[in-house]
Amino acid sequence: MTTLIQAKGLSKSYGSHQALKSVDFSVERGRIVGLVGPNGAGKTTILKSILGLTSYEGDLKVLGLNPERQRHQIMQKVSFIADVAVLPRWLRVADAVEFVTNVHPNFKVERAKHFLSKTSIPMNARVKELSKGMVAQLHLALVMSIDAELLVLDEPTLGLDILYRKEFYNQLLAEFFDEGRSILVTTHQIEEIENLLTDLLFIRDGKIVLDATMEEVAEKYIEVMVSKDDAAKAEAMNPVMQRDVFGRKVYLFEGVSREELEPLGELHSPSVADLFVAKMKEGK
Amino acid sequence: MSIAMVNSFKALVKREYWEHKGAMFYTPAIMAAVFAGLMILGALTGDHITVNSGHGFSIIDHLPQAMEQFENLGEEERSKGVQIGLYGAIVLFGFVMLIVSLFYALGSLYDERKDRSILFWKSLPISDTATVLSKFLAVTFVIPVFYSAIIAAFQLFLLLFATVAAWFGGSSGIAIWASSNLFGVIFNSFFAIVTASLWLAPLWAWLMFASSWAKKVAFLWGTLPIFMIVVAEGWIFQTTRFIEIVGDRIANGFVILNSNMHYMVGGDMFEIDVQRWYEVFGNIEFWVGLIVSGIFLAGAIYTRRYRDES
Amino acid sequence: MTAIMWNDQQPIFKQLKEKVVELIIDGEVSEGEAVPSVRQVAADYQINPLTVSKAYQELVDESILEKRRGLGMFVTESAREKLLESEKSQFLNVEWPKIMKKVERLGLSMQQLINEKPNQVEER
Repeated sequence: MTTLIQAKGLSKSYGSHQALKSVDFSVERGRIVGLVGPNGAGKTTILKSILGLTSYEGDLKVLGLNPERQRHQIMQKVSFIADVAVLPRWLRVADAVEFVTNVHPNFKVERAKHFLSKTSIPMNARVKELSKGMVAQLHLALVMSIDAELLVLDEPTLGLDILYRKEFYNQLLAEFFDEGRSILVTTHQIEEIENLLTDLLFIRDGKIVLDATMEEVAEKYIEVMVSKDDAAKAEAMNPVMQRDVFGRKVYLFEGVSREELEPLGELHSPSVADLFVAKMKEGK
Repeated sequence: MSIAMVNSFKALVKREYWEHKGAMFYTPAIMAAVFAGLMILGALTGDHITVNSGHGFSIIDHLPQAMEQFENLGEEERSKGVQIGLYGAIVLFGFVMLIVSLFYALGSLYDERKDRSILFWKSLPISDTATVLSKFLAVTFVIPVFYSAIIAAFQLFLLLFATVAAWFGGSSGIAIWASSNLFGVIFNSFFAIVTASLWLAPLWAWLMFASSWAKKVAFLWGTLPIFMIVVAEGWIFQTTRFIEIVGDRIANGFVILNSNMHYMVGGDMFEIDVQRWYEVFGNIEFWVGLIVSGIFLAGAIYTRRYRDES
Repeated sequence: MTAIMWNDQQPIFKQLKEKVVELIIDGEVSEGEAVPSVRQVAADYQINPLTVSKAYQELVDESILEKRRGLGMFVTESAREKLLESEKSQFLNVEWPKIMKKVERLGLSMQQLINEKPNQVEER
């Protein structure tokens, strides 16, 4: 099975508010997918649907299983971190390791102990005695020791200082990710992860507005820095967005070939953040 | 049930202990230590110590007199006296245990939502059924076992204390031990406590169910529906059957706890019909209670599984 | 962990490829020596392993790196030579002519250029 998540016509309403409007997307094995969108766009609803934490309409398959009816099976092979602060404060580190060992069939306790030994987390400490960064390290150590096919991360580095954030992704890449697994991550800190991603999903008002691999994005979206004389020419080619940088104009084009744009000036790849802003402003 | 499921369940019950060590162990242990301490202190400073056991059995420091009186009693009288003293320990510890169980049940499916740790538990392959049942087992069985153990230790202390007091009264104190029926007392105490807790299972299950959907202040959600039913019944039917049933059940729970004492003092402690712990299992109400518990637990499991935490 | 500012004009895998080439030419990695694993590079630079794989694969296609089963990626025997050759021809055929054009445009003579020592601060 190469498709780990398959969504067709996925919808969800909370009363009169439609959080998801018939969304289609898929996640293949061996990919790192970034799910980006403003607050309230529907990111969390998508994640909750995948994890069987909320009801939904439409067709959704995770590892070929139905999250509403087969949640228990799904959770043997899917892990998630729903923001860092969810480990119970009274839990001792050693007890947490013991608990997961006894409860999770795919947990490799030696790996967890190995990861923990590289931190300064005392085995006898309770979660309430640890700093936020250490709690994140503990949670990650546990999660990386689970032989999961899919890892879902919902703002996993929220509130962590930069050292812990960098180490978080470093560890994920070095110790966990391989071609047999996929990671689906949402975060506000796009810059931090844009180079890690293989695929990009933008969501706005319950709809997917961009669904592409990073390679496709590199080919399709090109930024040109244009001098004043060429501004009119550039605008005639229907840029998707425009911004001013140091008195020069930068235009973002979608689907226009490099050859056509080269005469206008220096070509750049837009950052995911700039692309995101462009897509959010589109049609407004 | 596979080995994995059993291990998983054991881990869940152990988790309840880790989380509630304070209420399950330290509370009764510290209580016992404090009482023991007070008794020793009082004895040393010569103050009057009264150990109330429902019928005014006092240990005064007219020790030689007391010992002589004691030894002059008949065998049966002596035995009753000692056992009443020992069963007396259950009155207060048992009451505390019921309060602890009440708060435990109310918090059982609420606390994890309040501190969001439910998102950690839900990230692991543990079923809602196993989770709810492990908590039910904790309140109906684990808490009673802990309290029974501490009570037994305290009962042992009471005997030792009485023995030492006897020495000071010029007696060897052997009579106290001989008439104590200590193992019988511990045995009966344990079963009375566990049976009382099981008798109150529908109460615990109801509170667990309330804790699974309460948005805030689980206590209110636990009591409000009962209050509403009582009011509705009074208004529609002009009867008070519901509150009578609920009240009866709760009162009986406390009664069963102290049933041993009741019979030891000649059936004078309570005015109602008192069941001995082993008679409870022959009472159809007990089994109906378990079925009702099952219904509430099913409700709690369903709610925990499908409730949408936003 | 190394903080790298990738430029936005070239795909990252190409920039990574250049880095590896630099390392080989400068002698930091010798012929027959292993280059860091895909996983390690991805973690160190916080980029996707597939990106690293792509860079390495192109170098394998150009016979600069070779894959040894179960052991990793190694620099091939004549890699340095090949790279120096291609760098030289790239410089001579593409970059040097550009510089020469600029020299002409600025009206500098060769004598001036030879007299100018590198890292000297210009005083005007």
